[in-house]
Amino acid sequence: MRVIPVGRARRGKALLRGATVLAMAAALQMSSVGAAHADPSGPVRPGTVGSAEAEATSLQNQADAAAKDAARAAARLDEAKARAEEEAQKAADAAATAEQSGKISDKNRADAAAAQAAQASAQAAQAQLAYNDKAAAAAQAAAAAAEAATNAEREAASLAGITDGTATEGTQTLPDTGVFPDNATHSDNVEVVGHVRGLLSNNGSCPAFKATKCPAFSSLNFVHYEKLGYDVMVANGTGGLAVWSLKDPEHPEYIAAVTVDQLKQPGETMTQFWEGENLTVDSRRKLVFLTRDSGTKGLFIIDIKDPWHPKLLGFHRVPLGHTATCINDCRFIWSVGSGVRGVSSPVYVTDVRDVNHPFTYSQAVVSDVRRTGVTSGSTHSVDVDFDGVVWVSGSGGVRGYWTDGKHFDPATQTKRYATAYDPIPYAGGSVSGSESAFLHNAYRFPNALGDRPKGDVVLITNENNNQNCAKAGVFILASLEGTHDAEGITSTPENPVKMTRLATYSPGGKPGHYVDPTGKAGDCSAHWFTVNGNIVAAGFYEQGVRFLDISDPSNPQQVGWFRVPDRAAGPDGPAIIGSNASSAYWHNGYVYVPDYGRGVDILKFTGDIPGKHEKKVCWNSCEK
Amino acid sequence: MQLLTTLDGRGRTRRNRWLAPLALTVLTLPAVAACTSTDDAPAAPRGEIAFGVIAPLSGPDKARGQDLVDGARMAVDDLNVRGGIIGQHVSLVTVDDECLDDGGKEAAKQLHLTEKVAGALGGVCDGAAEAAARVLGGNGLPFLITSANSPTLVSAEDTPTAYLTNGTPHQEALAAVHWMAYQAAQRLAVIADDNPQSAYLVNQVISVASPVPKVVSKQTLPAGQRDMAAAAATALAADPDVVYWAGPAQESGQLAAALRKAGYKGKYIASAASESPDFLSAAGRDGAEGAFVITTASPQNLPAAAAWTTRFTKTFGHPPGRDALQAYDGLRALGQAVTQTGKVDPALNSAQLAQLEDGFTTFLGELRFAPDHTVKYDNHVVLTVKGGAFTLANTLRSDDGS
Repeated sequence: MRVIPVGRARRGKALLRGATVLAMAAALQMSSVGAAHADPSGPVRPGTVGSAEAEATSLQNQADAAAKDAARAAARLDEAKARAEEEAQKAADAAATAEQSGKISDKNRADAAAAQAAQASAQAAQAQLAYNDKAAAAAQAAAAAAEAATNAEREAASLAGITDGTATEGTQTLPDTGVFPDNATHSDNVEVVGHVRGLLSNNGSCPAFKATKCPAFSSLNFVHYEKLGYDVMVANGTGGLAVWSLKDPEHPEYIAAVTVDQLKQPGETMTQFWEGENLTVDSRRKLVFLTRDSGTKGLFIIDIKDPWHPKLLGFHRVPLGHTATCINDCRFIWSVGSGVRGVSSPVYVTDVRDVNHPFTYSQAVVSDVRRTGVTSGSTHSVDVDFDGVVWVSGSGGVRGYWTDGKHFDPATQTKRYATAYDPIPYAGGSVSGSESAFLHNAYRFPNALGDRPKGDVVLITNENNNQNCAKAGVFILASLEGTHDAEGITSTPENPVKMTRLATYSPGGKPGHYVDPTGKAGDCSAHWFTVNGNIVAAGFYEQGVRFLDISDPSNPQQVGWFRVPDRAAGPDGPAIIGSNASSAYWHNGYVYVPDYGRGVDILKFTGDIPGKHEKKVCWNSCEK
Repeated sequence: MQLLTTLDGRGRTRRNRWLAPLALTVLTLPAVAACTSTDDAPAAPRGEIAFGVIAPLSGPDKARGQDLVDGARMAVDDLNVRGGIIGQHVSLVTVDDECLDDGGKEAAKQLHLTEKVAGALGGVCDGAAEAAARVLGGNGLPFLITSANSPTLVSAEDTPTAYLTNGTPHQEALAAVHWMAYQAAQRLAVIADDNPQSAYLVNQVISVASPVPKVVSKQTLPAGQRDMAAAAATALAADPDVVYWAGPAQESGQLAAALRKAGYKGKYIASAASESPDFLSAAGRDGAEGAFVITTASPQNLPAAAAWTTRFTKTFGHPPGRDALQAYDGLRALGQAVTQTGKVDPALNSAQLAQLEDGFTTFLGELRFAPDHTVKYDNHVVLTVKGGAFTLANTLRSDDGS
């Protein structure tokens, strides 16, 4: 944080008594509060209320320590001053005695006393200077602490409704009709530890790739309940929202649902919810935001303070609704999708600081993921990285933006605050060799990887549904080098600004590759993924889940896989729906797999996980 | 004209807060409605659906009360021209609450006893409106509070059938901050007079604005010390790119003029009171030009309501005020709830108010209510001064392309 500059105490100012020190510091602090030209403090990364409060506490501690230093300096000053006065008096007395007696010995004593007085005076002057510095530092620290405290109060006030959630465990359990996939095929380092089915749609068809096997879930998220001491898992799909307790993380308990009928708005005939592929939540306020892409697009806001009894707070129209992501500590939501014309990679911004009164800005943010200004195509996903950069994926590109903190704006060539509605471009664009690809979602890897520096590698999926793996969408590793905005804003044929494609991965030909002899199934496209250490867990539709080691970003290796084949009811057991994996979420040592046909499978990856293990897996809003 | 108000720490007004009732809105009272309150419970004509109007029809606020009644009456006329509601003729039952708590309570009781009353609207003064809301809530009758705007008047628990249709002071702050975002504001200077209402508003703006725009200067001008040149200089020393003022119109104009005179090129945004000729005259042409005012929609500032305003004026012999506009939409909303259920059933109709279909719109768009029973998308709009006159700049709705 920046500190408001305080006018330093002038050297040589008249001595102060020790008791006045803190009062002086306080006076200096007061005079600094209104400092006119200082840059105000504020988060330079996605500021959380907690971090603002921690900063305020830290600065207050520093201010307290500085005040103590100043008090000690004042005491030393008082002592030095008293000694100087005493020695000066002694010197004066000795001088008088010498003057009166005229004796050499008295004169020598007077000279010695004068020297001591001079030394004491010099020490007092030194103490004065030391005190002046300490007092100024104390005042500056106090001002900084006061500013941080004000900032923390504002942060807290701007995000009302933070809650630890219920302290009372509910008793409601809903019937879960899932069949454990005892026919699953997988690599030796993958264990299948659980399976839940959750909410079913009342409509047997859905627009997922494997239409006849729908419905189930397109995405998951997790909310921690501080008072319960465990997490709740939420999933959205064509049936609506399903909620599980993760008290036993291998065997989630299905505790609540918000059904399609409950989501229906007046006059609507909705038979299924579609679809919210990148479910976003606010763990601090215990809110779920379901985004709807069919019919009237927009956000359902659901309060899950008591996850056994979710409350639908309402529906809010937004022009785009394919996916939505909380940004800036979920003060705002960025919504993307298709259907808005004439804007280059549109993103709609909704202010959800007051969830009773959400507000969507009427003008879309132009994210221009290709950096060419072309207005065709759509946006598909918004994903926040560890540094708070918000990445928009869409037709032909992936581009990151600062939405918080103070940064250099290449468009204006000035440093300014980025906001959700007025973001500052960071890096990204098209990927060389994949310029026309539909880029589905992205994640900037936080650490150095192989020979690539920290924060240089972006992981991207290209979605293209095809049974032929040679044609289907792939997993892409790309370098941001040359695309940071200081190095160019617009990509032109003469001066292309593109990411470099380092490598791609496809399940084709790898262990676990499924080839349907009828040629009707086996979608091979990349879809959603999450990262733990250097291991990517990714959903590949009917190819199931793939684990990739990306330690060498130029040569990713499949190190594990999981897939459930179809099985008709028979002597081996009940019918089992085959894989149609949407994603794979690392979470507290497990991998939860939302599947368009199956519900949720729970896996354990027992292989090595190289690389730095972050405290939390980061995807979607990257809540930490 | 600005109504005197008192305000508690939660921003609750004692009286209704039309911060800037248009000075140009001069109400000419027609004869008091036929069905005003009496000691006996009034009766609606049989075979009709009736809606109650609770308003001050006597005392110092009777002009506003009559404006409100006329707005409701115009809605009734419009509905009847189209065949009424579910095939039945619509009528009004008006009751005088005298802007008193007891008056609101008694008015609500009378409406409850009145045959065929399917719902009620009105409520100019907070106390009267709250008292009426509690009585009607207990009796299950739908009630739209169309003028009073304290958020504490309604709640899902205490007044389950009552909803606010007028934006609250907190929503005015939200509107101001959203407009600041539209203006790409970075550095905010706030200045307010020492009125509690202004203090509440600026504190709300500061809270809601976090984390950007950053508040770089905050001043509260004590009574009797309104040196606007000094206030402007202090604000500008912090190098803001937006200055927000909450307080009276004349001081607002003086501040806007002082800022421009000092060379300020940034945005000036003022609270609702500045929608006044006093602002324009105090600011002068240069000071006022380009200034923004966050206020509530009115028949005069909403171009979409121009034809309606003309029609109203012709019908009632005076131009409509905000109370009339709010009452007009409120009565239609009550009617829509009946239409959606297909019958007069207070419980069902109350529930339908929270689920009005997309086809029902006001001049600003859809009407929705929040879980706390305040209006979800409120009626605050942005005006700007162009050529010396107020012009609508933005309705702050998602579909506003301006």
